[in-house]
Amino acid sequence: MKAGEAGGTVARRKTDLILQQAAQEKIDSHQEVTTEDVRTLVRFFLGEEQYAIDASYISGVWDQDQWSIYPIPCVPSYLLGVINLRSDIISVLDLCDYFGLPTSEIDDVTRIMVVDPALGKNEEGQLVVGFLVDKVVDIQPISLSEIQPPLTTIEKVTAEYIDGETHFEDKDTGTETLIGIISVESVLVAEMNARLSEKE
Amino acid sequence: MLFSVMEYSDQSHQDSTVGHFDQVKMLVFRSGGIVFGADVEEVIEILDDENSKIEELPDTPGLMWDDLVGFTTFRKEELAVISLNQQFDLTPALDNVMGIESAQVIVVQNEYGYLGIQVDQIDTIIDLEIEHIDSIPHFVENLLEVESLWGMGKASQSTDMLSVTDDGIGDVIMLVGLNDILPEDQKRLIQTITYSKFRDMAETSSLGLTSES
Repeated sequence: MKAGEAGGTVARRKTDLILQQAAQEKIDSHQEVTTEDVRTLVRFFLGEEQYAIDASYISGVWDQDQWSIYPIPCVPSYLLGVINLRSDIISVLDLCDYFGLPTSEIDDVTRIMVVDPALGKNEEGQLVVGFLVDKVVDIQPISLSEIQPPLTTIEKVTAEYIDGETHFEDKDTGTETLIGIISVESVLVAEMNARLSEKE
Repeated sequence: MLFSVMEYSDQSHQDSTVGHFDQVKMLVFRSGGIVFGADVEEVIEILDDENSKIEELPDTPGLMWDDLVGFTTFRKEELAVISLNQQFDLTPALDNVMGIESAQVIVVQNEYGYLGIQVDQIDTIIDLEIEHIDSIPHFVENLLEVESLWGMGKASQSTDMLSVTDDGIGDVIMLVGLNDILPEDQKRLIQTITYSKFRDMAETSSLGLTSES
């Protein structure tokens, strides 16, 4: 009985170790793929054009039923106001207006993507902002080899906000769409810096 | 980590038992389609349509009294009135385009005496709990061109704000310091002038302009 118990414990320890090791290897290989070969992108529309943002910055996508925008006096027009999401007050930026693209009315496909450039880091929550976009298409892993430097998209939006471009193939129509990948950091950091130096 | 969190909540509990501010009474009002809240301690009186006929000023471009909308009477004296819509560059709500007389005036007091602040509509007074007051988000703070907004009040099920949600007030209000709307030098200028003095100055100034041109 005693020996059996002891043996059982040993055996269990060994299997635990095996499982632990297997799990770790899975995590390692997964990380290799996600950090080195693939970027997961959320695709969305700004007017007629498609853009994307790295999914790792996005903490949530909210539809019109879930928020009301409360305007703030004396701010630039692209800062639409704030929303109250489960008692968190979040500023909302109209990306179209911010990029100088034509703005559209808020309707039932309009979404607010809540982004946090520090998501998963210690300073999480400091710079949380909601991006108002016209329509969210999907979330897709894109291999790094399919992402090129922004050569075409920079004509549309100030180059400093775009950190790459890629082509998406629509399986139904077979057409390819060019997508500019927006750098969340540069949108937020550029805005902060510009305003801070203005105030000084 | 857990320990520090507990320590913090202990401390805040102690603070609240000392009873500094559990909640603040806020006057809720609207202007330019935005819902504002102001600490009632700043409010001396509210003048409604009937007792706040405002004597509008002649148009005086180039004068330093752009901020001044006109005068009304308060406690038998002239009261200088400014407009929140004008200060915050807001468009008056549609149901209020009838004109200046249909608005309401909040009277505040500072070192220069009384000042009237005209708003579109006074709604109610609520008890806003301190835990439902947020500071201005960093992102907004950096873009904000006025210094009188100091926070945002949030609705929750335990505040009275939900009961006013039905009236279209919603669940965020902009908290404004009524005595911070005008800069010091403008306060002094506006609150120390009288209507007759203003008219004299306006006439002199427009005469001066005419002779120059």
